[in-house]
Amino acid sequence: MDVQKKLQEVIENIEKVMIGKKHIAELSVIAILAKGHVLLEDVPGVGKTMMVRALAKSMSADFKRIQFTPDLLPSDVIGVSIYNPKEMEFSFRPGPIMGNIILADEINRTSPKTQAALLEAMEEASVTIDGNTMTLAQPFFVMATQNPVEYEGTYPLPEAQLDRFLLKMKMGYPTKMDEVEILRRAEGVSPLQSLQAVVTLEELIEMQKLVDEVSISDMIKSYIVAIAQETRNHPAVYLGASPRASIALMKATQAYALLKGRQYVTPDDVQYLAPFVFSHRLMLKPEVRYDNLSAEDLVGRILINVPVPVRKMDHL
Amino acid sequence: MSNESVVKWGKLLLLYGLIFLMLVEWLRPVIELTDTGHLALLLLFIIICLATNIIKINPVLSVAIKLVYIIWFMLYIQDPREGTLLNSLANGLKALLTGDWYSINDTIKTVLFLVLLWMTIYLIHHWLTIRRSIMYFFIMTIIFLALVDTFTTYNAEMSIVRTMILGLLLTGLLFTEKLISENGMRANVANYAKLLVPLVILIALSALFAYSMPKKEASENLPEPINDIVKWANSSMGAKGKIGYVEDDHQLGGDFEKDDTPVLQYTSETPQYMRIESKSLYTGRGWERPKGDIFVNTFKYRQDVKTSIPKGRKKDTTTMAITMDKKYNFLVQPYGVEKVLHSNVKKNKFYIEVDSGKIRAMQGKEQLSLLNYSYEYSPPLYEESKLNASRVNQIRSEEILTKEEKESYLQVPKNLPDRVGALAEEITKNEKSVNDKANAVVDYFKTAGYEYSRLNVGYPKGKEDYVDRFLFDTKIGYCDNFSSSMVVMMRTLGIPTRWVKGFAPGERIVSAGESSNEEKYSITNNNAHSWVEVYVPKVGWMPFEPTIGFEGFEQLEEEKASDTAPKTEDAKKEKEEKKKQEEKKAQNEKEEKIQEKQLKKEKEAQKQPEKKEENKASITWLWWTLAAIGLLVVTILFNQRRKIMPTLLIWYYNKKNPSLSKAYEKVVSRLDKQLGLKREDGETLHGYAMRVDSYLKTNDFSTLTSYMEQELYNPDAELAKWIDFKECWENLINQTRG
Repeated sequence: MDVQKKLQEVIENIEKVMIGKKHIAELSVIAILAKGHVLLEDVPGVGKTMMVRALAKSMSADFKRIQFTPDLLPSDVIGVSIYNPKEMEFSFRPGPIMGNIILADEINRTSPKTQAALLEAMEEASVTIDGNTMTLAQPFFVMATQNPVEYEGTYPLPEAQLDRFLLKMKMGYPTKMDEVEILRRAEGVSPLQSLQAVVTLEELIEMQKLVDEVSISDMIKSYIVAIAQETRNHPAVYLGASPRASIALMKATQAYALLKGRQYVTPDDVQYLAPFVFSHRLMLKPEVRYDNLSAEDLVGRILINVPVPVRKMDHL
Repeated sequence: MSNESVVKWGKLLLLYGLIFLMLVEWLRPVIELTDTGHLALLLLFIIICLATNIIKINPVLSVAIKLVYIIWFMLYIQDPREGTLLNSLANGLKALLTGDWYSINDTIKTVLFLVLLWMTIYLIHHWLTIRRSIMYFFIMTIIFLALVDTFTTYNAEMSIVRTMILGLLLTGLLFTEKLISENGMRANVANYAKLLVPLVILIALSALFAYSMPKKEASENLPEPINDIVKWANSSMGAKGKIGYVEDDHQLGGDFEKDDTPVLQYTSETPQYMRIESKSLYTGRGWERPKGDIFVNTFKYRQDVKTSIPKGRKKDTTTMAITMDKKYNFLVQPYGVEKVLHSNVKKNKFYIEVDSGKIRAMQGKEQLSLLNYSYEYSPPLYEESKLNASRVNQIRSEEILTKEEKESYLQVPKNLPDRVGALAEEITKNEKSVNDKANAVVDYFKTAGYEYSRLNVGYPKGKEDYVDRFLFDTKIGYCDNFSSSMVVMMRTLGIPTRWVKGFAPGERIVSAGESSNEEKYSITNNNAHSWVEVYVPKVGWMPFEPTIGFEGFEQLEEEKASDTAPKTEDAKKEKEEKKKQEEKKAQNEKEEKIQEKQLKKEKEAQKQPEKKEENKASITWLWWTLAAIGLLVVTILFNQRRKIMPTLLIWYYNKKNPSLSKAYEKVVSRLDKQLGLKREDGETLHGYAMRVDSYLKTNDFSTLTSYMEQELYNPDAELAKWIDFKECWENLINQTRG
């Protein structure tokens, strides 16, 4: 199995649908490979659903979508046992979470209770209903979106729960040329219909196992830790990256190396992924926000200052 | 012509025009302070050099043009009297290489000057086009002008103002250039005008403002440290820092260090003053030779020498052998020279300059520097009665001196303060004879509180007269002060007097094996001296020694003195003479033989030193040539180090088969040092490699870096071998040649 080639095909598939968002596609694939989830912070209408659909279709995965509303209940997400008078017992009607790839739209619009249910499922990869624990389908990938524009009637996710997302990214508006291209494609039949699956779920699970086999030297590990520690010591940061964040970054880099067809992680991988892994896990001091310094900027600055390991003894 | 080329050429012409004007500021003082001529031709040379740089013609052609111009220039200015151009070039070069600074002729000086101009312009061109900064040149010009203004008579006041304006314009123009190219502005007239017009206005306004502001008058007396520097500079720049004979006396003054370098040795029964020349034109600052033709009398070996100085009695005639330690292209003579004896060179011709009495030896058209020669001479003796009878009013009717000679020996500067003449009058008013008047002046120095010193003498400032300053203000000085003062004072009295240069008698050196009545005397640079010759009517030129502490001349005729002496002495003398004659007769044959032997010995002795001298000269030649070649090689190596180093490195590394990390580190350090491509701390190797490769337009460094990344970050990878990455490593090292 040529892992890199297959993954590239997945990304090409997504690119057919999503114009000019290759890095988002790549990051999504990385998250899936690392068994993580993605938080997309973006305005509506930039093509999040399209992308996740394309991703699902390329992997012949089961795609579910949950539109979060303030009145959505945990059972609407997980599923509910309904009494079946005919068979005289409760039968379980699975909720939308019982799929491979789930788009959790506007996750910050629903109540914390429902959010917690989703996030728990994400972390444990299983749900417990009426005392029965049910393992979720594998692979299991959640792409949650949150709307940065509307703050009215939202329930922002607490930092501890944000930690559950491997990557946070922003899609952003397409460039002018890309948008023209989007319009041109919107004229005819959506290319989504014609997408072919290029990876089976079994292959995907196999690939997830391969991620763990990507070797990561001690130098790189200590580089990751150095970056994480720097976020903790930085004067502008109120809450730095946790060891879980370091693990997340390591996993992500391994997945990225696999995607790039490498058997080892380089500092470039770390530098590329660190903003996506760390920025949503940092809490900046309030006064810093007035300086218009975002967490992404901060991670960027830290990366400039932490020396890249280029000699064997550097990690000692 | 398109807008762009108008801008381009306009810019170039403006830049180089300003540079030209700045170079003119350099030339001006040079022309004014030295006797350099042909300003227009020099300027033309500068224009040619600048033009070849602007037009960017083929470098070979450019060099050829300049060489042709230099050669033409040399031919144009070559004085036919000095022989062919090649001849004087060779002579000059020889003098230059052997370090004989005083014999360096104008030809070689001019060539060097032109080459220097050429180099300077090349350097400026480099500054303009590559560094785009003219600051060095600007500051150097200001420093040069300030120095010239402070230490010489050149007034650089306006020069500095002009240079300031030119320099500011130049730096402004270059900065504009940088601004426009760095910000990607279009190089059109409008953009330049936008930036340059305010610049020009600003500079013009600030120059006007600065110029019109009241300034503190520079005081006549410079502040202490600068004054000391001026003194020091004057003493060292005047080529007189060390005592010794120099030909140039146009500015007297300054301090002297002791210098024991031997100059010559002579044999004589008594110590003798050694005369070189006299000078007659006093300028108020020093002595010069009057302008006009130089008349010479030529004579040959063993022919009578016509000197203006009276000769002594025939019976006193003796010989003096002189051995030079220092090369002079003239002869040093005792008083009363009759014949020049020189056993070695028969073809030699000598000539004596009528006005100065300087004797030079010639072979063909070339001046010779004789190292061994001897004289037949008889020191002049003056009859006291004649001396006592001499009167100042006899001078007018004296026929030995021509009218012109009288005029030139009575010359004093127009602005000589009256008190000098008044003092002379005062000192000599009680004396009647010319001789007594002169002696009165000599005595005056001894009694009136004058001090002999070679230090703290200083220079006359501003319009101060050299003699006046010494006589009335400082009263401290050395031979030049005393002798010049005496000459000027005698002249104010209407007595023809001249200033004489040469050496004081020097010290006797004891040497075994010489005949008892012939002593050897050694003269060093310390003995360089000046004294006075006074024209005594009916007697002739007579030397006087005004400098205190010097013994002076024994020149009064003994007969007069011996008139009163007891007769027994005469008898004794006669007896002695008779004895001597007898002895001579008896030893005649022996002596002849001895003389022959001695002659042979002398011949050999004379040959050997010359050979040695030649050897010395050729050794210095060799040494200089070797040094020049060495310097050339070192310069070439240094210039080419960027090309040579990589080759050496590649050779060395190929031999050593280094590890990847070693080789990689070498590349990184060379990239940093040679090309300034340094990896930042937070930059990954890959990112660095991309940056370097996009700079070098290759992908060698990325390839090498991927090997390195494997080695560093992939624990499972096999170590790369030298053969794997050798090629891209070599490519990279080659690319760091710059």
